[in-house]
Amino acid sequence: MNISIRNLNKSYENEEIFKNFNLDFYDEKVNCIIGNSGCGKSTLLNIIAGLTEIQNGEVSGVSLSDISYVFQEDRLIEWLTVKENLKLALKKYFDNSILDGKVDEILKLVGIYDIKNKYPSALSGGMKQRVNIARAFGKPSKLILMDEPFKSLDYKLKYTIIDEFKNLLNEEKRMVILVTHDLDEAIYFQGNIIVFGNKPVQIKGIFNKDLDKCKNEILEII
Amino acid sequence: MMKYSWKSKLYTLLSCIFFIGLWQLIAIVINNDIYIPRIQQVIEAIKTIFKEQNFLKIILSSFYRTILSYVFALIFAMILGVLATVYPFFKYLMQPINSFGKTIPTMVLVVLSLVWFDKDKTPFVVGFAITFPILYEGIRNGLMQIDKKVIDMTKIYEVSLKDKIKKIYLPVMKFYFMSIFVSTFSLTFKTVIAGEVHGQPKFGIGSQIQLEKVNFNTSGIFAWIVIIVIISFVLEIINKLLKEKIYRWTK
Repeated sequence: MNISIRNLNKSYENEEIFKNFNLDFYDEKVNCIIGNSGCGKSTLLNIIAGLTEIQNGEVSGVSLSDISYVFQEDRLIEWLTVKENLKLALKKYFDNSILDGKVDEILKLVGIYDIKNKYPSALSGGMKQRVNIARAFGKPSKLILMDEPFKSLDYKLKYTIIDEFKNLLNEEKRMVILVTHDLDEAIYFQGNIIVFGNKPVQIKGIFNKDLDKCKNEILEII
Repeated sequence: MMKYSWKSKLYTLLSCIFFIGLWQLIAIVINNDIYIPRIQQVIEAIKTIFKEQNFLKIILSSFYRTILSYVFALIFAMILGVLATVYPFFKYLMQPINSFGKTIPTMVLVVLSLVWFDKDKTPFVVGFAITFPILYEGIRNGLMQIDKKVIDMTKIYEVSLKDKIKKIYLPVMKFYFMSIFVSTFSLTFKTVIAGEVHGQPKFGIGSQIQLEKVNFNTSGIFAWIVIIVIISFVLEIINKLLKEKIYRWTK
Protein backbone atom coordinates (compact mmCIF):
# COMPACT_ATOMS: atom_id res chain seq x y z
CA MET A 1 0.00 0.00 0.00
CA ASN A 2 1.25 3.48 -0.87
CA ILE A 3 -0.65 6.56 0.22
CA SER A 4 0.36 9.81 -1.35
CA ILE A 5 -0.75 13.26 -0.24
CA ARG A 6 0.04 16.00 -2.74
CA ASN A 7 -0.35 19.79 -2.59
CA LEU A 8 -2.91 19.59 0.18
CA ASN A 9 -4.60 22.85 1.11
CA LYS A 10 -7.07 23.07 3.94
CA SER A 11 -8.19 26.01 6.00
CA TYR A 12 -10.91 26.71 8.56
CA GLU A 13 -12.27 30.24 8.19
CA ASN A 14 -9.08 32.36 8.23
CA GLU A 15 -6.77 29.74 9.64
CA GLU A 16 -4.61 27.75 7.24
CA ILE A 17 -4.05 24.20 8.47
CA PHE A 18 -2.30 22.74 5.43
CA LYS A 19 -0.60 24.75 2.70
CA ASN A 20 0.83 22.81 -0.27
CA PHE A 21 1.43 19.91 2.07
CA ASN A 22 3.01 16.68 0.80
CA LEU A 23 3.49 13.36 2.58
CA ASP A 24 3.81 9.69 1.64
CA PHE A 25 3.04 6.57 3.65
CA TYR A 26 4.40 3.39 2.16
CA ASP A 27 5.29 0.98 4.95
CA GLU A 28 3.08 -1.68 6.48
CA LYS A 29 4.19 -0.23 9.78
CA VAL A 30 2.79 1.96 12.48
CA ASN A 31 3.26 5.54 11.30
CA CYS A 32 2.98 7.78 14.35
CA ILE A 33 2.22 11.42 13.74
CA ILE A 34 3.31 13.47 16.68
CA GLY A 35 2.94 17.17 17.35
CA ASN A 36 1.42 19.75 19.64
CA SER A 37 -2.32 19.78 20.38
CA GLY A 38 -4.38 21.38 17.62
CA CYS A 39 -1.60 21.33 15.03
CA GLY A 40 -3.70 19.48 12.43
CA LYS A 41 -2.88 15.81 13.15
CA SER A 42 -6.51 14.69 13.53
CA THR A 43 -7.55 16.83 10.55
CA LEU A 44 -5.09 14.90 8.38
CA LEU A 45 -6.62 11.57 9.47
CA ASN A 46 -10.11 12.86 8.71
CA ILE A 47 -8.94 14.06 5.29
CA ILE A 48 -7.45 10.65 4.50
CA ALA A 49 -10.71 9.03 5.68
CA GLY A 50 -12.78 11.38 3.53
CA LEU A 51 -14.61 12.79 6.55
CA THR A 52 -13.22 16.29 6.04
CA GLU A 53 -13.35 18.07 2.72
CA ILE A 54 -10.27 19.76 1.33
CA GLN A 55 -9.95 22.96 -0.68
CA ASN A 56 -7.20 21.71 -2.99
CA GLY A 57 -4.86 18.80 -3.40
CA GLU A 58 -5.03 15.07 -3.73
CA VAL A 59 -4.97 12.01 -1.52
CA SER A 60 -4.30 8.94 -3.63
CA GLY A 61 -3.74 5.24 -3.06
CA VAL A 62 -6.57 4.73 -0.62
CA SER A 63 -10.36 4.44 -0.80
CA LEU A 64 -13.07 4.22 1.85
CA SER A 65 -13.27 0.44 1.61
CA ASP A 66 -9.54 0.23 2.56
CA ILE A 67 -9.96 2.19 5.78
CA SER A 68 -10.74 1.29 9.38
CA TYR A 69 -10.74 3.96 12.03
CA VAL A 70 -10.08 3.67 15.76
CA PHE A 71 -11.54 6.89 17.07
CA GLN A 72 -10.51 8.80 20.17
CA GLU A 73 -13.96 8.14 21.65
CA ASP A 74 -15.52 4.70 21.36
CA ARG A 75 -18.36 5.87 19.05
CA LEU A 76 -20.44 2.87 20.04
CA ILE A 77 -24.21 2.96 19.79
CA GLU A 78 -25.52 2.97 23.34
CA TRP A 79 -28.66 0.92 22.72
CA LEU A 80 -26.88 -1.89 20.88
CA THR A 81 -24.89 -4.61 22.61
CA VAL A 82 -21.17 -5.03 21.86
CA LYS A 83 -21.96 -7.79 19.36
CA GLU A 84 -24.77 -5.81 17.73
CA ASN A 85 -22.44 -2.81 17.39
CA LEU A 86 -19.86 -4.93 15.61
CA LYS A 87 -22.44 -6.62 13.41
CA LEU A 88 -23.76 -3.25 12.29
CA ALA A 89 -20.26 -2.04 11.38
CA LEU A 90 -19.15 -5.24 9.66
CA LYS A 91 -22.37 -6.21 7.87
CA LYS A 92 -21.19 -4.81 4.54
CA TYR A 93 -18.02 -6.91 4.47
CA PHE A 94 -19.32 -10.38 5.30
CA ASP A 95 -22.17 -12.48 4.01
CA ASN A 96 -25.09 -12.72 6.43
CA SER A 97 -24.56 -16.46 6.86
CA ILE A 98 -21.02 -15.99 8.20
CA LEU A 99 -21.34 -12.55 9.85
CA ASP A 100 -22.27 -13.96 13.26
CA GLY A 101 -19.30 -16.33 13.29
CA LYS A 102 -16.90 -13.65 12.04
CA VAL A 103 -17.96 -11.24 14.78
CA ASP A 104 -17.50 -13.97 17.42
CA GLU A 105 -14.08 -14.72 15.95
CA ILE A 106 -12.87 -11.11 16.20
CA LEU A 107 -14.37 -10.76 19.70
CA LYS A 108 -12.34 -13.80 20.79
CA LEU A 109 -9.23 -12.47 19.05
CA VAL A 110 -9.42 -9.21 20.96
CA GLY A 111 -10.35 -11.04 24.16
CA ILE A 112 -13.76 -9.49 24.69
CA TYR A 113 -16.01 -12.42 23.78
CA ASP A 114 -17.35 -12.58 27.34
CA ILE A 115 -18.81 -9.10 27.13
CA LYS A 116 -20.50 -9.52 23.75
CA ASN A 117 -24.00 -9.19 25.18
CA LYS A 118 -23.26 -6.15 27.32
CA TYR A 119 -24.33 -2.62 26.48
CA PRO A 120 -21.61 0.07 26.19
CA SER A 121 -22.89 1.81 29.34
CA ALA A 122 -21.85 -1.26 31.33
CA LEU A 123 -18.26 -1.22 30.01
CA SER A 124 -15.13 0.46 31.35
CA GLY A 125 -13.14 2.89 29.17
CA GLY A 126 -10.57 0.20 28.40
CA MET A 127 -13.22 -2.31 27.35
CA LYS A 128 -14.90 0.24 25.10
CA GLN A 129 -11.59 0.94 23.39
CA ARG A 130 -11.03 -2.80 22.89
CA VAL A 131 -14.42 -2.94 21.14
CA ASN A 132 -13.33 0.06 19.05
CA ILE A 133 -10.15 -1.85 18.07
CA ALA A 134 -12.14 -5.05 17.38
CA ARG A 135 -14.40 -3.09 15.03
CA ALA A 136 -11.38 -1.72 13.16
CA PHE A 137 -9.75 -5.15 12.84
CA GLY A 138 -13.05 -6.76 11.90
CA LYS A 139 -13.22 -4.73 8.71
CA PRO A 140 -10.97 -6.31 6.09
CA SER A 141 -9.15 -3.03 5.54
CA LYS A 142 -5.59 -2.28 4.46
CA LEU A 143 -5.20 0.83 6.58
CA ILE A 144 -6.10 1.56 10.19
CA LEU A 145 -6.34 5.20 11.20
CA MET A 146 -6.04 5.84 14.93
CA ASP A 147 -6.76 9.18 16.52
CA GLU A 148 -5.27 9.22 20.03
CA PRO A 149 -7.19 6.06 20.95
CA PHE A 150 -5.30 5.53 24.21
CA LYS A 151 -5.56 9.09 25.46
CA SER A 152 -8.17 8.53 28.16
CA LEU A 153 -6.66 5.31 29.52
CA ASP A 154 -4.45 5.06 32.59
CA TYR A 155 -0.76 4.27 32.08
CA LYS A 156 -0.85 0.52 32.80
CA LEU A 157 -4.02 -0.17 30.84
CA LYS A 158 -2.72 1.91 27.94
CA TYR A 159 0.38 -0.25 27.45
CA THR A 160 -1.60 -3.48 27.98
CA ILE A 161 -3.95 -2.49 25.15
CA ILE A 162 -1.05 -1.30 22.96
CA ASP A 163 0.62 -4.71 23.42
CA GLU A 164 -2.63 -6.45 22.48
CA PHE A 165 -2.91 -4.21 19.45
CA LYS A 166 0.68 -4.94 18.39
CA ASN A 167 -0.01 -8.68 18.68
CA LEU A 168 -3.06 -8.32 16.46
CA LEU A 169 -1.00 -6.35 13.99
CA ASN A 170 1.64 -9.11 13.91
CA GLU A 171 -1.06 -11.61 12.99
CA GLU A 172 -2.68 -9.42 10.36
CA LYS A 173 -0.32 -6.96 8.71
CA ARG A 174 -1.89 -3.59 7.97
CA MET A 175 -0.66 -0.07 7.57
CA VAL A 176 -1.42 2.08 10.61
CA ILE A 177 -1.42 5.86 10.85
CA LEU A 178 -1.59 6.81 14.51
CA VAL A 179 -1.96 10.31 15.84
CA THR A 180 -0.64 10.98 19.30
CA HIS A 181 0.92 13.69 21.39
CA ASP A 182 2.69 11.19 23.64
CA LEU A 183 6.24 10.60 22.39
CA ASP A 184 6.80 7.55 24.65
CA GLU A 185 3.73 5.93 23.14
CA ALA A 186 4.98 6.68 19.61
CA ILE A 187 8.44 5.22 20.40
CA TYR A 188 6.87 2.11 21.94
CA PHE A 189 5.30 1.20 18.59
CA GLN A 190 8.78 1.12 16.99
CA GLY A 191 7.48 2.26 13.62
CA ASN A 192 7.94 5.56 11.85
CA ILE A 193 7.61 8.82 13.74
CA ILE A 194 6.57 11.89 11.77
CA VAL A 195 6.88 15.16 13.67
CA PHE A 196 4.44 17.92 12.75
CA GLY A 197 5.20 21.59 13.33
CA ASN A 198 2.63 24.28 13.95
CA LYS A 199 0.10 25.60 11.42
CA PRO A 200 0.26 25.64 8.47
CA VAL A 201 1.64 22.16 9.08
CA GLN A 202 5.25 21.48 8.17
CA ILE A 203 7.04 18.20 8.65
CA LYS A 204 9.86 18.84 11.07
CA GLY A 205 11.33 15.38 10.88
CA ILE A 206 10.75 11.73 10.07
CA PHE A 207 12.41 9.11 12.29
CA ASN A 208 12.44 5.38 11.65
CA LYS A 209 15.61 4.00 13.24
CA ASP A 210 16.96 3.86 16.78
CA LEU A 211 13.91 5.66 18.05
CA ASP A 212 14.88 5.40 21.71
CA LYS A 213 18.10 7.29 20.96
CA CYS A 214 16.24 9.95 18.96
CA LYS A 215 13.94 10.90 21.85
CA ASN A 216 15.82 14.05 22.83
CA GLU A 217 16.21 15.14 19.22
CA ILE A 218 12.44 14.74 18.66
CA LEU A 219 11.64 16.60 21.87
CA GLU A 220 13.78 19.49 20.70
CA ILE A 221 11.95 19.93 17.39
CA ILE A 222 8.36 19.44 18.59
CA MET B 1 -34.45 7.50 47.49
CA MET B 2 -37.33 5.17 48.39
CA LYS B 3 -38.11 7.29 51.44
CA TYR B 4 -38.14 10.43 49.29
CA SER B 5 -40.44 8.81 46.74
CA TRP B 6 -42.98 7.84 49.42
CA LYS B 7 -42.80 11.30 50.93
CA SER B 8 -43.39 12.88 47.53
CA LYS B 9 -46.39 10.59 46.91
CA LEU B 10 -47.82 11.47 50.32
CA TYR B 11 -47.49 15.20 49.63
CA THR B 12 -49.18 14.79 46.22
CA LEU B 13 -52.01 12.86 47.88
CA LEU B 14 -52.40 15.57 50.54
CA SER B 15 -52.48 18.21 47.80
CA CYS B 16 -55.24 16.29 45.97
CA ILE B 17 -57.25 16.00 49.19
CA PHE B 18 -56.80 19.74 49.80
CA PHE B 19 -58.13 20.70 46.34
CA ILE B 20 -61.02 18.22 46.51
CA GLY B 21 -61.90 19.71 49.93
CA LEU B 22 -61.66 23.22 48.47
CA TRP B 23 -63.94 22.22 45.60
CA GLN B 24 -66.54 20.80 48.02
CA LEU B 25 -66.31 23.90 50.21
CA ILE B 26 -66.85 26.27 47.25
CA ALA B 27 -69.72 24.08 46.01
CA ILE B 28 -71.38 24.26 49.46
CA VAL B 29 -70.88 28.04 49.67
CA ILE B 30 -72.19 28.73 46.14
CA ASN B 31 -74.94 26.14 46.57
CA ASN B 32 -75.82 26.06 42.88
CA ASP B 33 -74.99 22.83 41.00
CA ILE B 34 -75.20 24.60 37.61
CA TYR B 35 -72.04 26.53 38.55
CA ILE B 36 -70.22 23.99 40.70
CA PRO B 37 -71.75 20.64 41.65
CA ARG B 38 -70.90 18.90 44.93
CA ILE B 39 -68.73 15.79 44.97
CA GLN B 40 -71.71 13.52 45.73
CA GLN B 41 -73.55 14.89 42.70
CA VAL B 42 -70.55 14.23 40.44
CA ILE B 43 -70.24 10.67 41.81
CA GLU B 44 -73.96 10.14 41.07
CA ALA B 45 -73.43 11.52 37.54
CA ILE B 46 -70.48 9.14 37.02
CA LYS B 47 -72.68 6.23 38.14
CA THR B 48 -75.36 7.31 35.66
CA ILE B 49 -72.82 7.57 32.83
CA PHE B 50 -71.42 4.11 33.67
CA LYS B 51 -74.91 2.63 33.56
CA GLU B 52 -75.63 4.16 30.14
CA GLN B 53 -76.05 1.58 27.43
CA ASN B 54 -73.63 3.31 25.06
CA PHE B 55 -70.99 4.21 27.65
CA LEU B 56 -68.28 1.94 26.23
CA LYS B 57 -69.18 2.90 22.67
CA ILE B 58 -68.79 6.61 23.55
CA ILE B 59 -65.40 6.12 25.19
CA LEU B 60 -64.13 3.79 22.48
CA SER B 61 -65.30 6.14 19.69
CA SER B 62 -63.30 9.02 21.16
CA PHE B 63 -60.38 6.70 21.74
CA TYR B 64 -60.57 5.31 18.24
CA ARG B 65 -60.45 8.83 16.75
CA THR B 66 -57.56 9.77 19.05
CA ILE B 67 -55.53 6.66 18.24
CA LEU B 68 -56.22 7.03 14.52
CA SER B 69 -55.17 10.68 14.37
CA TYR B 70 -52.17 10.02 16.64
CA VAL B 71 -50.94 7.04 14.64
CA PHE B 72 -51.35 8.91 11.35
CA ALA B 73 -49.55 11.97 12.76
CA LEU B 74 -46.76 9.76 14.14
CA ILE B 75 -46.25 7.85 10.89
CA PHE B 76 -46.14 11.06 8.84
CA ALA B 77 -43.86 12.75 11.39
CA MET B 78 -41.46 9.78 11.37
CA ILE B 79 -41.27 9.50 7.58
CA LEU B 80 -40.93 13.24 7.01
CA GLY B 81 -38.59 13.61 10.00
CA VAL B 82 -36.15 11.06 8.52
CA LEU B 83 -36.50 12.51 5.01
CA ALA B 84 -35.86 16.04 6.30
CA THR B 85 -32.77 14.81 8.16
CA VAL B 86 -31.32 12.92 5.21
CA TYR B 87 -32.44 15.26 2.37
CA PRO B 88 -32.48 19.04 3.10
CA PHE B 89 -35.14 19.50 0.39
CA PHE B 90 -37.79 18.02 2.70
CA LYS B 91 -36.62 20.20 5.60
CA TYR B 92 -37.32 23.36 3.60
CA LEU B 93 -40.54 21.92 2.15
CA MET B 94 -41.91 21.21 5.61
CA GLN B 95 -40.85 24.51 7.19
CA PRO B 96 -43.89 26.65 6.13
CA ILE B 97 -46.38 23.81 6.65
CA ASN B 98 -45.03 23.20 10.11
CA SER B 99 -45.03 26.88 11.09
CA PHE B 100 -48.60 27.19 9.81
CA GLY B 101 -49.70 24.07 11.69
CA LYS B 102 -48.18 25.30 14.94
CA THR B 103 -49.70 28.78 14.84
CA ILE B 104 -53.22 28.15 13.55
CA PRO B 105 -55.74 28.22 16.44
CA THR B 106 -57.54 24.95 17.17
CA MET B 107 -60.96 26.53 16.73
CA VAL B 108 -60.09 27.74 13.21
CA LEU B 109 -59.12 24.18 12.35
CA VAL B 110 -62.42 22.88 13.80
CA VAL B 111 -64.45 25.37 11.76
CA LEU B 112 -62.52 24.67 8.54
CA SER B 113 -62.77 20.91 9.08
CA LEU B 114 -66.54 21.25 9.49
CA VAL B 115 -66.65 23.14 6.19
CA TRP B 116 -64.41 20.70 4.30
CA PHE B 117 -65.27 17.36 5.93
CA ASP B 118 -68.29 15.84 7.61
CA LYS B 119 -68.87 16.06 11.36
CA ASP B 120 -67.59 12.52 12.01
CA LYS B 121 -64.23 13.24 10.42
CA THR B 122 -63.70 16.65 12.06
CA PRO B 123 -62.30 15.39 15.41
CA PHE B 124 -59.85 13.13 13.57
CA VAL B 125 -58.67 15.87 11.20
CA VAL B 126 -58.23 18.37 14.04
CA GLY B 127 -56.41 15.81 16.20
CA PHE B 128 -54.02 15.05 13.35
CA ALA B 129 -53.42 18.71 12.45
CA ILE B 130 -52.58 19.67 16.03
CA THR B 131 -50.44 16.64 16.84
CA PHE B 132 -48.41 16.31 13.63
CA PRO B 133 -46.31 19.53 13.90
CA ILE B 134 -45.38 18.75 17.51
CA LEU B 135 -44.33 15.18 16.74
CA TYR B 136 -42.54 16.19 13.52
CA GLU B 137 -40.52 18.91 15.19
CA GLY B 138 -39.66 16.74 18.16
CA ILE B 139 -38.57 13.83 15.97
CA ARG B 140 -36.50 16.20 13.80
CA ASN B 141 -34.80 17.68 16.85
CA GLY B 142 -34.15 14.19 18.22
CA LEU B 143 -32.57 13.10 14.94
CA MET B 144 -30.52 16.30 14.70
CA GLN B 145 -29.07 15.54 18.12
CA ILE B 146 -27.58 12.25 16.94
CA ASP B 147 -23.86 12.62 17.48
CA LYS B 148 -22.15 13.56 14.18
CA LYS B 149 -19.26 11.41 15.31
CA VAL B 150 -21.49 8.32 15.27
CA ILE B 151 -22.63 9.25 11.75
CA ASP B 152 -18.94 9.57 10.73
CA MET B 153 -18.38 6.08 12.16
CA THR B 154 -21.22 4.73 9.94
CA LYS B 155 -19.53 6.38 6.91
CA ILE B 156 -16.20 4.66 7.63
CA TYR B 157 -17.89 1.28 8.06
CA GLU B 158 -20.19 1.91 5.07
CA VAL B 159 -23.40 1.24 7.01
CA SER B 160 -26.34 1.25 4.59
CA LEU B 161 -29.09 3.85 4.82
CA LYS B 162 -31.55 1.06 5.64
CA ASP B 163 -29.46 -0.07 8.61
CA LYS B 164 -28.88 3.51 9.72
CA ILE B 165 -32.64 4.07 9.79
CA LYS B 166 -33.30 0.74 11.51
CA LYS B 167 -30.51 0.80 14.09
CA ILE B 168 -29.98 4.52 14.73
CA TYR B 169 -32.79 6.78 13.51
CA LEU B 170 -35.73 4.58 14.55
CA PRO B 171 -34.40 3.90 18.09
CA VAL B 172 -33.73 7.64 18.57
CA MET B 173 -37.31 8.35 17.48
CA LYS B 174 -38.56 5.61 19.79
CA PHE B 175 -36.75 7.12 22.80
CA TYR B 176 -38.03 10.57 21.97
CA PHE B 177 -41.54 9.20 21.43
CA MET B 178 -41.54 7.50 24.82
CA SER B 179 -40.61 10.74 26.55
CA ILE B 180 -43.51 12.67 25.04
CA PHE B 181 -46.10 9.93 24.49
CA VAL B 182 -48.38 10.76 27.41
CA SER B 183 -48.30 14.52 26.94
CA THR B 184 -48.87 14.42 23.17
CA PHE B 185 -51.45 11.62 23.31
CA SER B 186 -53.34 13.54 26.01
CA LEU B 187 -53.18 16.64 23.81
CA THR B 188 -54.59 14.68 20.84
CA PHE B 189 -57.29 13.23 23.13
CA LYS B 190 -58.25 16.72 24.34
CA THR B 191 -58.22 18.11 20.79
CA VAL B 192 -60.36 15.26 19.49
CA ILE B 193 -62.84 15.89 22.32
CA ALA B 194 -62.88 19.61 21.40
CA GLY B 195 -63.54 18.60 17.81
CA GLU B 196 -66.37 16.34 18.98
CA VAL B 197 -67.92 19.17 21.03
CA HIS B 198 -68.28 21.21 17.86
CA GLY B 199 -68.61 18.46 15.27
CA GLN B 200 -71.16 16.50 17.31
CA PRO B 201 -70.57 13.02 15.94
CA LYS B 202 -73.14 10.44 17.13
CA PHE B 203 -70.80 8.86 19.69
CA GLY B 204 -67.98 10.67 21.46
CA ILE B 205 -67.05 12.16 24.83
CA GLY B 206 -67.17 15.68 23.31
CA SER B 207 -70.70 15.12 21.99
CA GLN B 208 -71.78 13.99 25.48
CA ILE B 209 -70.20 17.03 27.14
CA GLN B 210 -72.04 19.29 24.69
CA LEU B 211 -75.28 17.43 25.47
CA GLU B 212 -74.73 17.89 29.24
CA LYS B 213 -74.03 21.60 28.63
CA VAL B 214 -77.28 22.03 26.65
CA ASN B 215 -79.13 20.36 29.54
CA PHE B 216 -77.35 22.57 32.13
CA ASN B 217 -76.07 19.37 33.73
CA THR B 218 -72.70 20.60 35.09
CA SER B 219 -72.40 17.47 37.26
CA GLY B 220 -72.40 15.47 34.01
CA ILE B 221 -69.61 17.65 32.59
CA PHE B 222 -67.56 17.22 35.79
CA ALA B 223 -68.21 13.48 35.65
CA TRP B 224 -66.79 13.30 32.13
CA ILE B 225 -63.75 15.31 33.28
CA VAL B 226 -63.15 12.73 36.03
CA ILE B 227 -63.42 9.92 33.46
CA ILE B 228 -60.91 11.71 31.18
CA VAL B 229 -58.51 12.12 34.13
CA ILE B 230 -58.80 8.40 34.92
CA ILE B 231 -58.06 7.53 31.28
CA SER B 232 -54.98 9.83 31.29
CA PHE B 233 -53.80 8.20 34.52
CA VAL B 234 -54.07 4.73 32.94
CA LEU B 235 -52.09 6.01 29.94
CA GLU B 236 -49.34 7.24 32.21
CA ILE B 237 -49.05 3.84 33.87
CA ILE B 238 -48.82 2.14 30.45
CA ASN B 239 -46.16 4.65 29.41
CA LYS B 240 -44.13 3.96 32.54
CA LEU B 241 -44.20 0.21 31.89
CA LEU B 242 -43.16 0.68 28.25
CA LYS B 243 -40.33 3.02 29.25
CA GLU B 244 -38.89 0.44 31.63
CA LYS B 245 -38.82 -2.08 28.77
CA ILE B 246 -37.36 0.27 26.16
CA TYR B 247 -34.65 1.86 28.29
CA ARG B 248 -33.25 -1.48 29.50
CA TRP B 249 -29.85 -0.65 27.89
CA THR B 250 -29.26 2.16 30.38
CA LYS B 251 -29.22 -0.26 33.31
